[in-house]
Amino acid sequence: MGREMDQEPSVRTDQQLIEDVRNGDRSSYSELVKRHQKGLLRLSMRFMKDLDLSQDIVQEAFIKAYEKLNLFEGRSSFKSWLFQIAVNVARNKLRENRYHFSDIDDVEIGVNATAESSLIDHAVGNILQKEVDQLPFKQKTALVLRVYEDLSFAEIAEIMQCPYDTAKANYRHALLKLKEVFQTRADLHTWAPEANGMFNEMNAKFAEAAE
Amino acid sequence: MTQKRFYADVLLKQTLKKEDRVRIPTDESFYEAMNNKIMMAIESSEVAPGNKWEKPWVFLEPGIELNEGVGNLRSRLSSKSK
Repeated sequence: MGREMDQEPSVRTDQQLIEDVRNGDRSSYSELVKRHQKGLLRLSMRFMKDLDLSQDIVQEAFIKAYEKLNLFEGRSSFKSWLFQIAVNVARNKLRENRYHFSDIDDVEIGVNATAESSLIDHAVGNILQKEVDQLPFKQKTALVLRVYEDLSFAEIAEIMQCPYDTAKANYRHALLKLKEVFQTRADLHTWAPEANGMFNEMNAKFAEAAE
Repeated sequence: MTQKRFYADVLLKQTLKKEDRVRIPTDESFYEAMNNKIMMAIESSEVAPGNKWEKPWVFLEPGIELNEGVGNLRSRLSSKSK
């Protein structure tokens, strides 16, 4: 369909480039890498928190995608498909390394073990980021894809290889966990005026929503 | 209620985005080097031949399932009754 359009080579669609690669033109894959490596690196950084490890994830994801290119049917975008591979690679790496991989029990331990005094020095963003990092992998994935990548639940479901409702439920649970932070950590309300305003507004909205 | 919850979600999303701490390199040479590294690895890889049995699982969105299923059923019933 897109092939019939008179397009400059520089604006070839992902699908056209994929066809070229399938027909033996490896150099077209370089263009696909250029297009998606930044997005993939940013996504990997959200899970790995380390540039070198994230680069490894990106490289492995692109190699896997290349080897399995014939399996890409074009039902979803190439970007979603790449994200799916990268998320799987990241999850496996986290499991191998047990690198900040947490389940619900770990979350509790993490919160209790954190010294209260050091928390005082942290900005709201740091606290939020920590809570996000401590979410179970599936919830974190749904949240990251929805909030930072602005993807639809259909795309998130595709990437997470789960039903649409499951993707939505994982996102919802992640939000509820973060909501609890605002509700339970009353100690945080007093130490920063800007944080106080945000906590109050957030609590009010969640309280209204729960009514 | 749904509207208020939606607003609370939007607020949380905005806060998370605003406080986003993830930074990636902005230097283009970094990405060129990365691209080269990936392409070098690709040189020693091959696109595996397609296997008709190896297909990704297709999950239906509830909207699609309901619209198509119920719609078709209705249209069949209404065509039968005519």
